[in-house]
Amino acid sequence: MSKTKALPPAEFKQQLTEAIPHLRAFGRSLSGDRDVADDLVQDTLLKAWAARDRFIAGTSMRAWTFVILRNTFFSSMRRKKFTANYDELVAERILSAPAPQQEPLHLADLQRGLMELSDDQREAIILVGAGGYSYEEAAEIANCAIGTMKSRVSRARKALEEILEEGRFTTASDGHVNLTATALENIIGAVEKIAP
Amino acid sequence: MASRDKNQTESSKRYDAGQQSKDVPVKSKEDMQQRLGLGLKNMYLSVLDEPLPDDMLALLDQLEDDDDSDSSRSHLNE
Repeated sequence: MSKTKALPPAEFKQQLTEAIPHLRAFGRSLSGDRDVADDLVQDTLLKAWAARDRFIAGTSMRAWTFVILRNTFFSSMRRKKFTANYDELVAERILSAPAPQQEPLHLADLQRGLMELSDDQREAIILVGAGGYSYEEAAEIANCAIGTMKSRVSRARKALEEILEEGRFTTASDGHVNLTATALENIIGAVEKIAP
Repeated sequence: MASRDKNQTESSKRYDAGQQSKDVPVKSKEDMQQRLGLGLKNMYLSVLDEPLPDDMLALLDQLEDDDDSDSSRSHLNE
């Protein structure tokens, strides 16, 4: 039998629905763009539904759909050069509450830093550092060895720290003027990146 | 390149240039690690907290409906 136990449609749908927030979070940090990410999630839902006979009951729906999403994303990136866009509203969200001497880390800065990483490293740090997946789970999703995943994560972390430390981006601690400048710079940077 | 330099001066991004808005620009390594770790988690969690978009739920409903009326699958508006 080529088909392992498939889930009844209602149950499949239920599990797929539960995976949506995670797919959105993964997609958004991977692409740096809310709308692109939501399109990606829609695509992923369609593909997952079409392939539902291949989903093995009892395994992780999240991991299964993550694979679909990242494959879709990376193949579409290769097809058309991908332009990362930054949502200024979202950029205003302060990500980590600052200790007295700390400046807050802003989403725009973090996302911009993420976009400077290689695809492999970005995916790795998102899965492990942001999503809290184990190296093993992340390696499975990215289809690589655990050791490879570990080194991707540590290199990504180091690179991100350097990018943020260098202060190449606004820490945006003093208001909206800087935030706008940051968003603008992000867009300029993204444009420079695709049209060197 | 030129445009980036301009932006930097204008928004006082360079810590050595003029007004230092905050006291210490140089942070310890652990500090940055901590901020990065927190930032990454919060970035992710903040999306998890968002309500599910209606169009995604509608899409799943539609897929399920199409499934039910499998033989006459005419109402899938491609």
